[in-house]
Amino acid sequence: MSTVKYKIKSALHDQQLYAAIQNASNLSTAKRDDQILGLDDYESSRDAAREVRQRSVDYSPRLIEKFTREFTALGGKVYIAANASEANRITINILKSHGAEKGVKSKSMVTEEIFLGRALESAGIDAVETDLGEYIVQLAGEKPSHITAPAMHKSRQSIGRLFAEKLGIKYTDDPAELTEVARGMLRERFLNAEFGISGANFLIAETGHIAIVENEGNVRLGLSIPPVYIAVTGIEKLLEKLADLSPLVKMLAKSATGQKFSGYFHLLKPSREGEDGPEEMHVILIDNGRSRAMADPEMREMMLCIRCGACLNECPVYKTIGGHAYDSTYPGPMGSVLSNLLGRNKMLHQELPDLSTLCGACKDVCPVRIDLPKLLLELRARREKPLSHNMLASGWKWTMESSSRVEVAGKFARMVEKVVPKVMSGGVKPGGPGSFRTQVEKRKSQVESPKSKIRTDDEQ
Amino acid sequence: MLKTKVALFVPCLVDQAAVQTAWATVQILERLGIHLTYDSRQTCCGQAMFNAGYLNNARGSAEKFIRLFHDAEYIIAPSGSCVSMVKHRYADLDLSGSFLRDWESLRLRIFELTEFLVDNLGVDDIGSKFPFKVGIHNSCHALRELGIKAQPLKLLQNVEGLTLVNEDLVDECCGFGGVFSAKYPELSAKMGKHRSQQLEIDSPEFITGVDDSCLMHLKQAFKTNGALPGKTIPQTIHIARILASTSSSPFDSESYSYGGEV
Amino acid sequence: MNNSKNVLLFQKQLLAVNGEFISLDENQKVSSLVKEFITSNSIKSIVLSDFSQHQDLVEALEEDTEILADFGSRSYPLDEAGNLCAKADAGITDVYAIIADTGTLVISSRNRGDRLCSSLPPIHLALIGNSKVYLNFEEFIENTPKEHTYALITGPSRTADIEKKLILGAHGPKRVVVFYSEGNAGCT
Ligand code: SF4
Repeated sequence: MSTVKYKIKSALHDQQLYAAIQNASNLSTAKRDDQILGLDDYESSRDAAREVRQRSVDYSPRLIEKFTREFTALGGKVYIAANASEANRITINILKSHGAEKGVKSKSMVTEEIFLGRALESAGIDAVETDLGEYIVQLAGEKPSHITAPAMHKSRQSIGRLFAEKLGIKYTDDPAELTEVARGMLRERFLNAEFGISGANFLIAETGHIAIVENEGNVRLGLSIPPVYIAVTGIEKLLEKLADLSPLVKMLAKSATGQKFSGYFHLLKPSREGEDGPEEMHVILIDNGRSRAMADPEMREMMLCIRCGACLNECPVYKTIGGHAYDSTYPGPMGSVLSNLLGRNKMLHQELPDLSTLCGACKDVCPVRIDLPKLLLELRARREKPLSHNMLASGWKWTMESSSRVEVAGKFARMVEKVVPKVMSGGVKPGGPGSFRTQVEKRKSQVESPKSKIRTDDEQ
Repeated sequence: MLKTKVALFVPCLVDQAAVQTAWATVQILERLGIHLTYDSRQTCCGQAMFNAGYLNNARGSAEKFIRLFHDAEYIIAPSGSCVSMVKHRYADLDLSGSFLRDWESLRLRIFELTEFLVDNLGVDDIGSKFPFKVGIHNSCHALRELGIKAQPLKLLQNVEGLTLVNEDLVDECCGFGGVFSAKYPELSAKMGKHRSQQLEIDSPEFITGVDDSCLMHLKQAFKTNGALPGKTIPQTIHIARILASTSSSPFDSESYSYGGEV
Repeated sequence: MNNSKNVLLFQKQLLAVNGEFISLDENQKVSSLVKEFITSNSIKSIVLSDFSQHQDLVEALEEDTEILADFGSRSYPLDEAGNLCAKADAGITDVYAIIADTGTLVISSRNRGDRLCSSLPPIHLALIGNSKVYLNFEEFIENTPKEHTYALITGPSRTADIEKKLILGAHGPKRVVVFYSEGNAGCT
């Protein structure tokens, strides 16, 4: 059994998980709908957002160059990392050069993608996750199960038990109290942090700004207190100009958290003389398969993604099994595509494209209109097929080429209803003697009677 | 009397496992005086192969489909999913030459049954009678790729004796997904259970829709999971069979054949 | 641009995101209103960033309130600044601009101490008398100087990471209180 299959199986038997995910995704969907239904310019905003992202991906190399010029002119540093290990090495080198050992981190899926946390740990650097959900997941020794709501798979009771066990507090499952506990614990860490690491939602080539969206204020603290600040993000996140942010930040807030505008929006650049800001700022841009994906005419559309997570909340498969079953940093419909584009080689998560009914809900909610079902289908088609499947497929093709073969196959299928694929049996009683085709042919004489007008082709 | 000429496409699943739906479709179209043809060489639109990632095989089915149907004035099928495959997904099959040309015009002439009745013929009352409590499950491909939601609703609203329930229920996938259900049967079944329980809430006697594949999946879910406390399991029925039922030819769950006569 | 209409919209949107809005009439002084607020909310200690009216506030408040840090009168080493702000019951800053249709405060990087005073104490008192007023994000982006760092703050910090339940006061302030004085902008 594949790891994914195994994880699905255990997820299917975890009632607590199922309840948590159903509850959270339904609430997320409802909040999003509250923001979006009744907006008369929603569809045109989606077009605008897509246009900006399209431009961003089309001009990516040029924009990286321009951003680097602007950002370094102000004393910041920009690095391009070809892959995960290079990115981790760069980060560790920066921190080591400062002798920094303790710092804070804000939620970032890119750092999850490259396993930065693990790399820092083995380098003897302690980076605590400060986003509440991410903090919970780190305490539990898990990975996030959702790209914007890392602890979505956990009930308040299980978080209460986790806090009691790991933090030595009295058990409570009140979300407000638990939040307060985390706030208190992390305050100390913020005040003593030697560095802050976060992701970045966008980088602005025109001005050299880093744009970050958040709600908890942990990013704000992470870039206000420690002297060294590092932003880690993908090379596809460059925008041409500040004005490009408008359609994106609004769509992001609505689609990700059902907010009109996110709690905090940072437009950050290396501080000028006499201004308030971190003493040192670094931006690490990660490729890790992205330039390959951008050069792939069918797949580059995935690079438009703004990581809002709406397609996860809406996906009936994700809502049934949660994120961990996908066995990849990025779960859900977007993850089933993206996971196969990233890394040293393509198609590292070959099974994931099958984990979809192709219902199209993801495509319908995507704020930048990514045609996820189409990309999933494309990946299915690209995959090397095991021989047995190929034989099955050719068998099907051979059958479908001729209606008489369909007849024979159909008769056989009805006879062995229990063993043929569900698509042919559907668990129903076959509809009387023979198929529609047989019945039509048998009834040719009636067909020609004045009472019924149905004609078979050869009569024409 | 309408003089529209229609070629009937009976998707393989319907042909093999839901003959009643095909006959009901014939009945409805004939009742409207439509000149109907059926080419018995037809097989499958290619969707199953396409969704499984076998593009070459799917292209073969598509070419055959195009060859058989390109002359038709209209092509009507009692399935949203197969119509969507032909209309939209053929674009991803790298068709070429005359196949591509013929498909480009053919795709504008293929319709799902209820869509055809309401949008093309402008008919929303075809004199049907079906004195039961009915809920709709909107199938994903019909809903999201063809925009079919108002049409079946309109038709059902005008069926004599029919009580509509579940009208405000959110649309969600039943969990079938063709090859998906074969590869992940347990997962597919759990999704089916979730959806079937949503559909049971208003105690419908029947659940209807425009795609037999989803309805069969739901039927299986109802059967496996039994009724919710205090509810009875609804039957599943393709919308064509509801629309084909009239006072002179009432619905008969056992009847499978044309006009219930043979 | 119709400022008072935009401020009304700002007020409405700020309240919608759990912010608080206190408006002054012509003869009231910001400093006395802030003092009133501080007394009635039993705020014992404050920090202030380096904004133009900080001196007036210091004079009005120093008698009854402990002023842990005043970034307008001196600068502090980074770690000391953090510790002082974390201890304060409230932080006071002015605001570079407001964005009406989302109820957003824009804090720029120009004042020393702005970042810490607006993020570490549990209550952020924000003075918008001198602020520029923009209708929406587009207008702000179009008109703002591109060389600065900005933080756009919309209501108190928040999280919904536990079962999607909204909790105010995650890592940043639990309350954001905006003081607005029309007509006497700049003079207290
Ligand atoms: S694919 Fe679209 S919906 Fe999914 S996370 Fe990306 S932007 Fe959001």
